[in-house]
Amino acid sequence: MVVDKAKRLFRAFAAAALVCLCTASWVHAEGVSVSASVEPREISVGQSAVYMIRLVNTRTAPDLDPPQVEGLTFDSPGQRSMTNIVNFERRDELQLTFRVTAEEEGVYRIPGRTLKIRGEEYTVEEVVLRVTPMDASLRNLFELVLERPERPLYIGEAVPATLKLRLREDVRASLGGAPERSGDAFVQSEWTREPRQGTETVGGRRFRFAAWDVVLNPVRAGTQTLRYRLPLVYENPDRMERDFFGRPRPQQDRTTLTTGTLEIDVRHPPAENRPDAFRDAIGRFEVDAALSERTVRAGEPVTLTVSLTGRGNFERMGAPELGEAPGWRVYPPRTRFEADDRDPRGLSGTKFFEYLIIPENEEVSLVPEFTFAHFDPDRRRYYTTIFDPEPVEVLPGIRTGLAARDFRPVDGTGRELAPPAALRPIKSLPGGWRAALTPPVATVRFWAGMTAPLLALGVLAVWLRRRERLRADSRHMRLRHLTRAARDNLALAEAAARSGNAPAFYAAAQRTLQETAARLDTEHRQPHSLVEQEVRELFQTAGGDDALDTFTATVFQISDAGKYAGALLEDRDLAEDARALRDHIERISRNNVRS
Amino acid sequence: MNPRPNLLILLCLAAVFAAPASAQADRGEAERLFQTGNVYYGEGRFEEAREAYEQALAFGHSAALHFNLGNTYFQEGDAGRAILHYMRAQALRPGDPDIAANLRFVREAAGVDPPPAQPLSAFAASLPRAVWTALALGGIWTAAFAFLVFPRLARAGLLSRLTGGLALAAALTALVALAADRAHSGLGVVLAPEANLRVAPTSGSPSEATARAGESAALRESRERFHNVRFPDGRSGFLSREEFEPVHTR
Repeated sequence: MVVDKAKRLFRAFAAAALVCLCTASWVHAEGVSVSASVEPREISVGQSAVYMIRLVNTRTAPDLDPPQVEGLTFDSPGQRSMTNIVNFERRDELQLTFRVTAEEEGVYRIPGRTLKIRGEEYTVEEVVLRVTPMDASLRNLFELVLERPERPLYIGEAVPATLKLRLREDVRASLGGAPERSGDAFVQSEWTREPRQGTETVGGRRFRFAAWDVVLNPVRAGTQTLRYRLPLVYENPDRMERDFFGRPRPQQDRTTLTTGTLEIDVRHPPAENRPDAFRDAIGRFEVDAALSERTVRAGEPVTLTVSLTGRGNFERMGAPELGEAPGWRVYPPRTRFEADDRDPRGLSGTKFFEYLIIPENEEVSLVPEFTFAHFDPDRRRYYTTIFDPEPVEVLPGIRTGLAARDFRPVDGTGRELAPPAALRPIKSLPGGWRAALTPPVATVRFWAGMTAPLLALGVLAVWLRRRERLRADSRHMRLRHLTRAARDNLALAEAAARSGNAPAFYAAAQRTLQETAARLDTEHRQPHSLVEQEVRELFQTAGGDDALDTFTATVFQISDAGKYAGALLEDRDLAEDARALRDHIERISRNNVRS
Repeated sequence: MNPRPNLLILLCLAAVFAAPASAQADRGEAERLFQTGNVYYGEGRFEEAREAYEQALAFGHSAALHFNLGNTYFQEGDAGRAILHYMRAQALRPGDPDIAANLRFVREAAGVDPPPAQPLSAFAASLPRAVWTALALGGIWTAAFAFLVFPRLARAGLLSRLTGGLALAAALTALVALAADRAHSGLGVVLAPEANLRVAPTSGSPSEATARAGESAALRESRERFHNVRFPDGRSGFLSREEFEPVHTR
């Protein structure tokens, strides 16, 4: 009995617990909360903290990119989820973490953001990280520097640079990763697999160093920033700790060294005094030239080799320009480069431009001259070398009787040789930019835009012409005035007809007829001075028919009767008379215009 | 003073200067990417150079950019796209000898013939399109003023009529050149190494002929996934958008 009761109690308790768990899960599914923190809140340059975003009551991880804060580096993203059940309350928690490394001192605000979880948006608050300067004792142990020319750099230049890690001689360290660069105004050659190592004395102190020799190519003008960082694991000989057996040993730690933000002045090669022959060669070069043969036959190829020896941007320079070469057929040069083994960056060496040139006849006696110009970035000056034409003896061609222009280089089997395989080099300057490949002139919108002002111009011209005619031609002005007056009175007459006002209708109709007749009058009499007979005569002269004549007489008689006798002579259909008036006026005006 | 007019003026000024400032920023970024591509090209890193150039294309077009992209594609062995970009460069700067030389060189290397010269195409190519456009517009406006407006404002003499006549002649010449250039710009280039000319605009359609990368054809019609093209030798059919690309795109 007691056992049964206990079983029932246990079942009831288990069911209740299950219900509570389900209810708790359901309740907490509604209460998602999001928060952000950084620990520790204060670090020194080179040290790292952990930036964490906590999402409570959800297991759904939103898409999350690392924050972007100038001076801080976010890496090693991590994610951890857990579930706690306390007093039957279930609590899911998701932690998203980033390791944040400080590269410069300052107060940094890691910005807040909005996360979208299951269609709902949640706001993550901003957090603040304080970064203090690197401990002075640490600064004595190591430093990261970029050695480069201390002068403005030029777009197109190949700049030798060395990223150097200096370690105090008694410091043992290993790299925590490869060096990293930030600054999109420069393109850099790839890192060497192993850094160059050695020792040097700086400021009277001995250092060991690891150096990476690179080539920097500035690609954007202006004051540009560049920064390098290098993670390092080191043993600090100034701080000792004891190992498992109690023996003293240097404390091991991790830091990230930076060069700081370097501000570099980048310029275009100066436009002032730039020689026409300048083909983007920047550096220091010596020029030489050699001819493969001094005596050749017309139609036989000879090679003019121009060699440039020195240090600079061999990869980007264009070929020296050959001058006018009448009597010579000149092919684009074949190029090759012999690097100086002593220069690990490959910036030093000799570049050869081999021009295949062919004398077209035996009358030529000089090979073409050529000009080479380069810019020396250290001296900030252009240098131009002009090689004068060299004498050459050209004998008559073997295939005598053939026109000189028909000569082509042939191989042993007589097959014509193709010109040297050479793709003309890339352009160093982008030139003018266009928003679209299709020119504006090919678009309907452009021509529609052009047509509107042209139409406006046409309207302006017509308006000016009319104004000018009104000023200069009194007859035209009179006609225009009379036409308007007749039109206005016709409208008045029609309005009077619609309202049944017979006196007003006939008075307006009479004025309309007078003004229309006055337009036909070569004596330029005033319209109101024209009497019935004169109006009828004018209409008849202008080709008016009998109906117009009768209508004119009727209108004048009725109008005069109204004016002078105070009453109309007969009862007439005003609407019909209004229509007749318009027809007659339009017809006589049309006939008049045609005539 | 009422502050509203000032605010209005400021808004107008902001509207006027915002667009050029944005365009300036885009041009700066495009030039940076252009130079970045040049550096990679110089180092023989053609894939990275191509990516930089193509990113620059998002900000604008220049003849030099398409020329360098053509060189890059050729170095990567893609003659079709190389020719396409040389043709685009040539459309932007018709008289450039480097573009003409490389276009000829790559066509020879790919074994494809240039498209037959269109009537007046040499004449149209004798000046850049921008110059023809300026000439046409300047001529139209000068003629309009000389014939329509100037005689109404002052006494029109022989000089005015002569100026108007010359401007009208220049405008008509430029319009003819632009029309010839427009007719030539309806070309496109085959990109696929060997493309089947389908008889219908469907993937499963049979084909009657083939075309090789770098060949130029006239674009007759564009559909959703296919272009209807015609080659100078009379071959015609449908090529997919992956196989053929017009020189001029919006």
